[in-house]
Amino acid sequence: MLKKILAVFAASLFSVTAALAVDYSGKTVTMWIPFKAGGGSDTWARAIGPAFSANLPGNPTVVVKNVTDGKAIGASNKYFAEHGKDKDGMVVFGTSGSVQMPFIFKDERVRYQYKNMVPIFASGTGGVVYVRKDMGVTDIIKDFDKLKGQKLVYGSQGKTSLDAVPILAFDMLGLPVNVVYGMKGRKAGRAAILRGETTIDYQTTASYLKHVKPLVEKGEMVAVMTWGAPVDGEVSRDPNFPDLPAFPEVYEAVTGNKFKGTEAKSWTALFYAGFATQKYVMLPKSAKKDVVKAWQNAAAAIVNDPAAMKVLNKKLGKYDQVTGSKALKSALKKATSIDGKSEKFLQSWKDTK
Amino acid sequence: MFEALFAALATIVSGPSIFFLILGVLIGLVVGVIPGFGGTVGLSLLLPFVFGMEPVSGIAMMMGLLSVVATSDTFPAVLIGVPGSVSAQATVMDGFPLAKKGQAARALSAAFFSSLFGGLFGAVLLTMVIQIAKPIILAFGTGEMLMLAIFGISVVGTLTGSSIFKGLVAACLGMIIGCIGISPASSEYRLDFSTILEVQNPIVMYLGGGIHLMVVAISIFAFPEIVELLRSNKAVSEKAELEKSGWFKGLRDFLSNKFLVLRCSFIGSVIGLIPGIGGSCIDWISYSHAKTTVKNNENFGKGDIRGVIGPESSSNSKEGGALIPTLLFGIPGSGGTAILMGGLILLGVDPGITMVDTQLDLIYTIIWSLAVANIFGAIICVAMAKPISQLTTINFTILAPFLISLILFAIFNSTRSWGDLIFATFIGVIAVYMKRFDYSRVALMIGFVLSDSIETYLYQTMQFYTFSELFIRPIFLVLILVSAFSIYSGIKIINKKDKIANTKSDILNAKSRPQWVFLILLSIISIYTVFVTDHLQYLGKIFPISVGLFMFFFSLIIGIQMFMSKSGSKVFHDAENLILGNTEIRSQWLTIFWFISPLFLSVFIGFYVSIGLFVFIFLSKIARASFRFSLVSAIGVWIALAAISHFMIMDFPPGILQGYIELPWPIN
Repeated sequence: MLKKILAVFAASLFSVTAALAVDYSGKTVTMWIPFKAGGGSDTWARAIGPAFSANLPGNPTVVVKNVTDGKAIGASNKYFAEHGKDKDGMVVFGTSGSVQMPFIFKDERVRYQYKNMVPIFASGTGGVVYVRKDMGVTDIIKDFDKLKGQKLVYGSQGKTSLDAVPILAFDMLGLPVNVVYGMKGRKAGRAAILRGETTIDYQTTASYLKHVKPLVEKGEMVAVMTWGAPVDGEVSRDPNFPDLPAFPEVYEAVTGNKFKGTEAKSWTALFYAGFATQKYVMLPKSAKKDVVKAWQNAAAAIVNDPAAMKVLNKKLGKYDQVTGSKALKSALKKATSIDGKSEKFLQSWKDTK
Repeated sequence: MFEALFAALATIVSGPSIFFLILGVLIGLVVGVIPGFGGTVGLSLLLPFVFGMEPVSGIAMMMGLLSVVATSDTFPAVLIGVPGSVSAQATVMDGFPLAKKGQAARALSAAFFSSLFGGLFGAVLLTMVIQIAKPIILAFGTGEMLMLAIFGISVVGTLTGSSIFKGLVAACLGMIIGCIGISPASSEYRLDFSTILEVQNPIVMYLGGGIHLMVVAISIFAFPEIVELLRSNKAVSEKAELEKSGWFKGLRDFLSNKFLVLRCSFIGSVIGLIPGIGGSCIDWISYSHAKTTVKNNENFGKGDIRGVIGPESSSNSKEGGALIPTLLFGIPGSGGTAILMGGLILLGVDPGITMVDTQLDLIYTIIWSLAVANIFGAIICVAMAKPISQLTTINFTILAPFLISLILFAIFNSTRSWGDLIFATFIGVIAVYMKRFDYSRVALMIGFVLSDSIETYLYQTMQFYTFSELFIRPIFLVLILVSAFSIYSGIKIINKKDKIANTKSDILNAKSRPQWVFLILLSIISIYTVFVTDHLQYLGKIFPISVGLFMFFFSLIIGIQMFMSKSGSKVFHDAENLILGNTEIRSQWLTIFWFISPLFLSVFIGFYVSIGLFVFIFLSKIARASFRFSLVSAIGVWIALAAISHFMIMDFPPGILQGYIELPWPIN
């Protein structure tokens, strides 16, 4: 009995000292962002940085380091080369869909491995597909044949970018969309549909609410579907847009098939990587257990603090935040690992015109 | 409207915002002066502080910074021939020759007044059109943007040297450099040596990201100028005594060219208004406009004050224009406004369509900040113009180590990669020979800047429009006429130059072998481009292959001209002959070696240590300065770099030494 009590006591003592060991007071923690200043991921990092500073033990200064050497892939490789074996959590990695996509498409430049990472915090977004009013479509399912007969043009950044999600979706629906590449980001895509050069487009939730919704209200554009949102492991209607059908729903209604099989699996993997949980704060797997714990606790504290979330939501638009070791791990797995069949499918799909 | 306008002015000038505005202006002035730091870098420095600020103060600070960068970047452009930021590229053309004549203060103050006017013009335009600009911006489709890019290329003719084909070869080379990286239409990696090297080789990884604008801009302009100044071992100004009353003369120059200022301000803000073309070619367009529309333009490029006034008015007026699409659609029209938008989002002000209806007061705050900051910025700059101009009377060899450190740092800051330094050196050496043999460096720069636009918009225009749709678009047609006129003026100017060159061709009696070597090198680059892009998809290869073939064709013509001509002909232009005979001249390769010696050192001991060491050795051995002065200077450079490293969260490239031993900050 005494032994047991002593053991418990010793263990608790040990855990107390271990918890104490993680103390960042007076230190500067760096968030390594493989993108340039001012972009979406940078803004996201700068918004959550102070929140982490307030919730990490010892309240360290959190700074954002924009690494642009070799673009997103090169800068991510560099993180792994320089900090992949760190233990102290002084330099954390901030990633986004543009880092996940080349990984999924097996770009030979990629040297990072998501299985060597521990996720701390993840933010997701949705996407809304809309068309110009002159397409004459109000309900994508009812008016599908009408939509199919229109001149559909989509402005894209490239097939292996985040645009893999819309392009594969159009393919799966059998929509004859002429995909025109060379757009510099979604903003350029939006400009093109405003000018009437393209006719179908999508924007992420925050951008849609800010820039497209006013046009939908004015009657210049029509929202037709969302990519959906992850609910209990399924891609269901996006709670931000309960009136709009999600893509899997549209797929089932239009094609008559179940949303299953290699294509659906591949699309779902892309959706998780690019949207559902697109931005991660991560530590290398080598980080000490209590360091990971301290970071995960801080992440949980941010999400549970309504005041912090209010600030975050105001800056970033409506994002879904994922915390907690288990939820994060399964989300990361969905976003970064696909089965062999889907992988093969995506490799051959990538090269088709 | 007026009520809201003046209420916004009151919020700016009263309370704490005015202090933040001035703070922004001061930071902006410093950032503009340092080559390689533009509004983009300056604003990203502010971003961490903006978060959590009160919106009006935050806007005032960011706008203060953004508004004055294009004013103060004139200092290095005029004084040392290095553009302080992208928007001062064209200012170098005539500003630097003026400094050589001892008229730096005149050139600077004329530039500041033009810049001030341009800035205010942009603010007024912004106020007037913000509520009605939507259809104007939307009228510029990809077809129009393509024509704007072609118009940008067409000014090459008016700016190039005496041989049009050398200019065209240079423009093609610029476009080929612009093709490096991911292709816009097919997302393939191009010209990254992946056909020879392994994909994960650092060189291939670096080139995959494309070469950064500032790497090209600095190496192409600054490198040859500094090498040349070092060789002659003199001060920038050829006169020991600077001209008196420079300040007042600048104001007079400004006033007597008021219509030129007005026209160029208009050009700047209108092109700035259209997102997609970007600010980088506006200066060249207005420089070309100035050159073609004024009388007696023979002295352009040799120190004509109008060559400074034109681009300076437009480079600052474009900010006002670029703000319109940013605020109206959330689609930034320039690099600076792109980061501004990130900052606005952090302040909780998300620009977009509804902003004009719901937050007009904030838009007016932005406009007033722009205007007030411009006035502050111009006053400070004009006051500084004269004392700073004294720098041009100091022997350049003393200044050189500081400038070389500054330039290497600025280049490195582009993407913070070793590759920046390596490729800048490579392009710099090519630029030295381009200058010597009269291949237009401006043409290369314009080709580089517009390469991506031309390729992307050409492909997109073909996809979006049929010919009959395109030729009923009025703006498209107008732009065709404008480009045709620009090409016509170019031909006229070249013919005129031909006559002048032929009358004095005997002076340039040159050795022809180095010219042949250089020409053959250029042809090899063109052939290489064609061969290594051939395996790509049609959309990925059509542009680089066409450019490569054109470049080869133009080099062939130059070759034939050289073959057919006597050695005294103008195709054999060699600037080397103009300076030979001066016995004090240093060897070309020696000075190039000095320039890049800190890089060799860096390979072993890391960039940080090597720069200070370089300053010390250069000053004490080559400039023969006192031991004390050299030591103090080296320590000063070290402290400055450490401060920058701290505030900009920047690591300097490590050397072999750092790979073996763990060293403390900042030497690591």
